[in-house]
Amino acid sequence: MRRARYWVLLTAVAAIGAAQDADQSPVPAEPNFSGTLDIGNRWLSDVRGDFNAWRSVVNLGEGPRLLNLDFHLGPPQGLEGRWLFDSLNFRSNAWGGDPYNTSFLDISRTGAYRLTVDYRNIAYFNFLPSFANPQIDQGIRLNQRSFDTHRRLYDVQLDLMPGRRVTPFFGYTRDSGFGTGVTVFVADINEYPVSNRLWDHTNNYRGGVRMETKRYHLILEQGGTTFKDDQEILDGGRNPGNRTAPFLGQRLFLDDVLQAYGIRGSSIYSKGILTGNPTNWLDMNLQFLYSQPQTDTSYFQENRGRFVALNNLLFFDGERSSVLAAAKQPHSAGSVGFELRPARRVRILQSWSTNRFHNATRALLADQILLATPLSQETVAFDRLVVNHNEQRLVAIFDPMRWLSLRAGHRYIWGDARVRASAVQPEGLEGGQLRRNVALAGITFRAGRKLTLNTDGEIADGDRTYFRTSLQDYKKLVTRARYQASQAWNFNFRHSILANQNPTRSIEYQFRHWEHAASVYWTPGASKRASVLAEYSRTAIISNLTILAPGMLNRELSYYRDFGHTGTVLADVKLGGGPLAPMITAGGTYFVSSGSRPTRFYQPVGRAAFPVHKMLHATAEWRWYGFAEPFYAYEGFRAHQFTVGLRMLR
Amino acid sequence: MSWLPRLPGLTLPPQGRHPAPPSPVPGTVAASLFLAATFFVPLAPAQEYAGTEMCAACHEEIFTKFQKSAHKRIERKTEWTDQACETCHGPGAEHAASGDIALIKNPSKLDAGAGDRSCLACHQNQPSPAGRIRNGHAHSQVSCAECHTVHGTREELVDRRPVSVNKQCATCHMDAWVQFQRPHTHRLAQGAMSCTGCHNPHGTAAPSNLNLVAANEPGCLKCHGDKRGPFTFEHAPVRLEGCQSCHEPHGSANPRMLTRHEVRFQCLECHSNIGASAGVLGGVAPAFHDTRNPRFRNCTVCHVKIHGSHINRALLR
Repeated sequence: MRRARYWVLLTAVAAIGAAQDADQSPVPAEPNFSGTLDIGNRWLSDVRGDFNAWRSVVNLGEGPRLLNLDFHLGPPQGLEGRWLFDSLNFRSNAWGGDPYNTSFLDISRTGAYRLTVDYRNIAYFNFLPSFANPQIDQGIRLNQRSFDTHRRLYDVQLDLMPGRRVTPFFGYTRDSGFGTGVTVFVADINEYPVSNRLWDHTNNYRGGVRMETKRYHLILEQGGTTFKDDQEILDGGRNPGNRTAPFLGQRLFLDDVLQAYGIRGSSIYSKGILTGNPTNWLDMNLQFLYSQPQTDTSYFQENRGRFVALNNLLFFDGERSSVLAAAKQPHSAGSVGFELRPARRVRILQSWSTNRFHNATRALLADQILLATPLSQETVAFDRLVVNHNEQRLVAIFDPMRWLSLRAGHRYIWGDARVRASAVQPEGLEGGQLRRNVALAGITFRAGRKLTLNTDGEIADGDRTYFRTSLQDYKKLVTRARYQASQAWNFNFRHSILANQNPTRSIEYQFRHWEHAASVYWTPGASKRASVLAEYSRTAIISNLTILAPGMLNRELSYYRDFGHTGTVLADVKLGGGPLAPMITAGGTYFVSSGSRPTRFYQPVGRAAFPVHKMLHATAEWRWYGFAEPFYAYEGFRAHQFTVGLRMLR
Repeated sequence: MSWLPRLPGLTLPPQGRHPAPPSPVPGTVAASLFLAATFFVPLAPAQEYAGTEMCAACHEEIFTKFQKSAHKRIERKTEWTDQACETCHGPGAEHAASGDIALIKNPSKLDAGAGDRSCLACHQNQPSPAGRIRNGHAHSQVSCAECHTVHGTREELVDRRPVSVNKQCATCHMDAWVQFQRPHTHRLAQGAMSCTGCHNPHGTAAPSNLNLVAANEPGCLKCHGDKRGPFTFEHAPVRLEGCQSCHEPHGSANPRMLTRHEVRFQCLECHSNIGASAGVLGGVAPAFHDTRNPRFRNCTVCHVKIHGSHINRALLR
């Protein structure tokens, strides 16, 4: 693995070096090449505190790294059209062992092809003790679901004859996840933490054609996906589970368990998008999107130990289960819209959209309790989910003056859904409706290029909503302002507020979210020798909702509070004049919140860049991570991170 | 035939016929003119062009930067050779002769939408998830030049490195960027992702310019394919209101980007209908779980397949 890291670094250095050599060769015209290469080594101090929390939040490691590589390559002047490509752009980030690696390639030849390749590898580690154990500090320790997995994404797209009237295109995307984790095996009144293996992938194949004329543009795309999910649990050894007290005098435990999921899925989909501007005063668009995903499931489970079936108070030592299931979900969506410009300064935007899907499923569940005479039971289950969602929007934009835009409109959202009912009526369906009228208004004010002020507001009146916490009667206001006081001073300001309520007596939901944010960017003089960026944001979330507490079924109030302060300061100072003057950066980011889950997260940073040559800089960075949660003090961590590297520019 | 119009999505206006502003047409007349206008493009009177050399004489700094820009291609082998500046700024002979800034078009100083139309004269056929680029960001309230460096210092008109993209978006969307400073968030700060991984600033068919995958599925499923389903037993909010009904994708102080600090509150706020009058989905509460017992404080300890299950109606496996 270590050798592979050095190999990646050497390859990257060689790529830049080769381009520089090409520059020195006697070829009369040099290729159009520009790029940046950052390589370095990262060290980490001992992570003080909870290492699992560190990995869940930051998760950066040590060792040599290709921190960044990006370059553009094109044919020399005069040789355009004679190379296999006219433009090649490549970007790569965090290679050599970092948990987040990305690469992107965009290569094209005018009128012939364009190929893009995107690769991402993102580690997902999540093991926060407090997540399942809010009372761990009282010695109450339970199992939880945790993950140590990776998600990898490959995305390839090839366009042929781009820019011509007819452009065929083909694409392939593969998204896969793999790794291990901890999950829970639930057996009636006890639950057992067990290790599991996760492995899933989705392949997406697509092809289509874009057709364009001066006024119309049509995209027709046909695609399909295949899906495979093979999760597995294979765990052995005496496991007492979360319930440590005997049940009716008997101790319950798990000795071994096998769970094997075999989920296969596929989907076909079709997409058609027509846009056009049949006249200079009308733009129109029409979309039709259809997909029909389906899955087939086979599942097998065998567990041994000591268990109890609550419905007949039967104690037993083993159980086998198998499930065969299938699900289909035809899904169609469409929209029609236009932008009409009846006068020079007036625009009217109208759109209708609909989104419908219908999930129909069936499952055959077979259970066998392993007694002297095995007890078998087979159940057939059906499930449905039917959703119709519609939206109509009308907005008028009026620009009475060059420096002023006014917007006003209306949005109506309506729909209905039928979903599986609660556990008390397991085979039933319950229905919900959505009806919401929203008034929209906005204003944009521009005073030259110095000041821009933008405000948008919404007032909604809903009389039907799907869920207790959904938007119903709400008011929303977002204001943004930008002011360039001088060449050196730039100010940004943002204020937003969202107040939502559902006054239904048994819900009494009150939700309020507001935020003030301001930033200032100071670049004195034109010398670019110093700059300061400062940002500050204050946010608040206040939520009150009446709930029915399980157990005693009494009414309680669910409170949630989050008052956050976030700040960033970054100051750049160039020590001296000239292109080889060192540059120092100092600052950092902090997040401090109070309320339901008080949190402190500090990330101070210091950087230095020492140009050795106009194309070679030595760099150094120090960063400190400090994370603390007063209610969950055991979960905090602190760590220093140092990175030293070289940056090559061209 | 020149090669430039074959660039992806580019349809340059013919020389001497600079794109005219949209003609205001009264609504009543509009219908009758619809058919005719489809086949007729009004011609603006031809004006004199000055040529790039003339522009460079005064605007040397811009000219120097322009040599590294992708727009420099306009200068090569097209009928616009030596007139690249005037593809956007319009014929400039009169401006060059008099120096009067009123006689030259500056797209960055035009009113809302007009500046974008200057860009879209060539770029409107550029493909986007919504078909093609129809107008600037937020219906031309944010012009193309806010994000794209038209004269450019790079080959690309916008720096597409994830860190740069995030910085660009954050200048206006401070609220979103602030949330990414919270501890539990997608990996934007590490450069593994950028805002454009989930949103397309040129518009999509979904609200908030969210990307879609496989025609009409939420963009989240591009990376989280295991949550796609369809599941034998669905969890309705995932389908009806999307991931945001429980998660705050821009970042949260709560583990797993949840919108509540403990899982039981997340669940009980919906699974808590009191009486039939509420008229909302969610059913009654899971009545026999005593949440005073630590075992029942985190619903997902047992209901592990909370996004939907292929096996179990209660989402237990």
